[in-house]
Amino acid sequence: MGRIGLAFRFFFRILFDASLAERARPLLTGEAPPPAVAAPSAEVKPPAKKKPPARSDALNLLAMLQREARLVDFIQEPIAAYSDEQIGAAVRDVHRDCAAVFERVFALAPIREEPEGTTIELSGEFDAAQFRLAGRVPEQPPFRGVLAHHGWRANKCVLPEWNGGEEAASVIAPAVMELP
Amino acid sequence: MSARYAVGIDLGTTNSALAYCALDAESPRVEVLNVPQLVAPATIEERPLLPSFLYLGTDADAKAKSFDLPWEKKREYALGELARRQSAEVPTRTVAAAKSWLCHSRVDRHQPILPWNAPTDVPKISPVTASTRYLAHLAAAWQAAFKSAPLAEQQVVLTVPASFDPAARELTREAAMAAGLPENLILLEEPQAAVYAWLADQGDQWRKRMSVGDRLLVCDVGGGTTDFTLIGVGQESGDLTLERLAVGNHILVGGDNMDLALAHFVAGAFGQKGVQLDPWQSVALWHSCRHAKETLLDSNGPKKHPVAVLGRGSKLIKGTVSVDVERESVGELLVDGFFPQCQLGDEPARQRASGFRELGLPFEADTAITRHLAAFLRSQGQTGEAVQPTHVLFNGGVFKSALLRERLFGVLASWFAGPPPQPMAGNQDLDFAVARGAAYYGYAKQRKAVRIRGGTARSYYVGIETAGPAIPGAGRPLRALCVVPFGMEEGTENDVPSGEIGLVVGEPAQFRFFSSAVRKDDRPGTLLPSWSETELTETDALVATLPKGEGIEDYVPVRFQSKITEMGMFELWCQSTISPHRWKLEFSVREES
Repeated sequence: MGRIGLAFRFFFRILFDASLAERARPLLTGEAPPPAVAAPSAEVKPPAKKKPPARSDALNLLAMLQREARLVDFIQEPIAAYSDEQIGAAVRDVHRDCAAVFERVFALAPIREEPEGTTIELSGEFDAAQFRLAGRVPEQPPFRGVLAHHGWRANKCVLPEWNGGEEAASVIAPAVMELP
Repeated sequence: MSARYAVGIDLGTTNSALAYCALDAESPRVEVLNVPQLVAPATIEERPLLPSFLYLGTDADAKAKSFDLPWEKKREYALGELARRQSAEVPTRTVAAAKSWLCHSRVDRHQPILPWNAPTDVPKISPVTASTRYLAHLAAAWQAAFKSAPLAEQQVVLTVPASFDPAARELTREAAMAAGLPENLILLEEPQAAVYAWLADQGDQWRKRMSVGDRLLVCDVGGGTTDFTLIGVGQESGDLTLERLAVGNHILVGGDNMDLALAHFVAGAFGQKGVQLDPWQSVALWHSCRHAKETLLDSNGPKKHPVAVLGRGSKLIKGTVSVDVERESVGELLVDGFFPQCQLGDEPARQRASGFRELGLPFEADTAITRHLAAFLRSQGQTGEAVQPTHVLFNGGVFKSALLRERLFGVLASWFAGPPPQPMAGNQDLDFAVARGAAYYGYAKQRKAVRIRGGTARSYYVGIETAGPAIPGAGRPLRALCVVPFGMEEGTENDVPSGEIGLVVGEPAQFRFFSSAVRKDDRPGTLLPSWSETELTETDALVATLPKGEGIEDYVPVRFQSKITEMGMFELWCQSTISPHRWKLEFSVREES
């Protein structure tokens, strides 16, 4: 294609396609291009046809938190009778191992990187799912206020795959029998 | 058929990993493969590390299809994370540290001996079979992710400890072939792989970071073994080159020993509080100590850190016991115990601790890594002076601790006058460097990029009995014939000059086999009438059985031919001096009866 032809095609495409316009802008301004949407590398994991798992992801996660961090044991045990010290001794390990599971499964990160307490400003095009406004909220943006909570975002959600039978699906942790 | 990827496999004592890199990339990007593995019965998760543990299940496990994988059904065993967890609960059915057994020449590594000391009604497998299964799992994981790039057609590099003897390398290769890895598989020494990982990270920058005459010490402390390698920087027509100068002996002490030592120490602290831990709690404590170690060995860490063992039953809080562990005492235990401030002239203790012997493996009597390092640097120096490294590259998760790195530098600085050794610049991925470096080596070999030269790190000898009348009650005196000189290059052969050696047809001819890390000047054909125990180390014997027939007499005079293949494998042949026949000597890795 000649350069004139190419220029015309870009003219009309940029005119009518806002997303292409945004991607083309840095070519002129010399800014770094916006991060490309991670191209699914052709080789990795062709989505094999899977039969629906025999148990829900919620149970999968619960079983995982029990297996790796004993979270179910911890929550199910009445704690009223124990001293803070005794609870504290147990909670460190449960906390450490839960955190490891969260990191692996969800890779949690704050939505805003600023320290809480910093004044921030939201322009007209902010994403209402990512920010909740509290206090005296005026009718029109921009909004200026203090970051009260930095929010959390899951950067992924990768749960183990379960392929057990029907009867095992409800087992969060098997009973343990120790042989002499 | 042409390779599209370089694939690096780190078959570790406690963890294995696979990394890869596209061969057509101008600047290589090495990625680590996420390996699908069982983390619980019927539960598969992808993780970058594959724990090198193997759990031998019961019939019930197989019937319940608990160990099915996407690529194999009705499995009777599980490996990876599930097996690692089982090693705590069901130790008699779990194989661990198969790699350490692979290089243990006092047992038959083809025989089902693992789990070691398991009762007779439990199934057992051989160290070679265990290694085969780990590799087959990694191969299947690769194939599941890269359906259009069969592993057998890629450039595959598998790492081994630098101190692995030829028999252990042969067994590793045998396991790899059985697992379906390609025939042209390359074996690469782990410390070199760590250097390649650094080179991959640095790109062309590395030439600015090093200069001619630098000597790089690679200090690789894995889960079960410690390996030292010395690499020199030279130049050739104005371009920097890297040459592997020396490799240390096989030292069976590593990060796992440190975790165990800490667990023993903390169990003692529990004992003082009147809490006796049962076997299950002891294993749980080991797990807790592994985590506590990182906090306690952080130079900015807290003065005290609580270590807890959770209650075993569902009453978790009620059963939890904990003690506060002081950083100072852990420092004494681990830093001074494993990296003591010692003199350059110190010798590692030689006696074996009796308690360890029951575990079967010849663990080091002396856990002081710095003393082993001193012995290594001394043995590589010339004219009685120890070699002084200018740079240190760390490998192994142990060195995530700044305290241990600082101690090692401190000890090295105290040994030598002049400028102390420098750490290598840049990021070091201590968990995956070996797999990454192996993949990068595959790339560098194909693309003719920078490579570490070196050849064999040892010279090799065959034991020859001297002729003469036998004295009743005493063996004939033995001499050692050098068959491979130090630094023999890959892809070369040597005819070994010697007197004629007679082999009897139809009977196995066995030769004792020795290696030396210090006799660097012996040439093929050099005959040693005697040697000291520190000079030559005996490893597995070599055997050849000459078939009858083919017009061969009862007795054939032969000479030796040694060969190092392009893939780095050692071969020794007997060449008949009266006919064109020749026979390969095989390692006798069978137990001596």
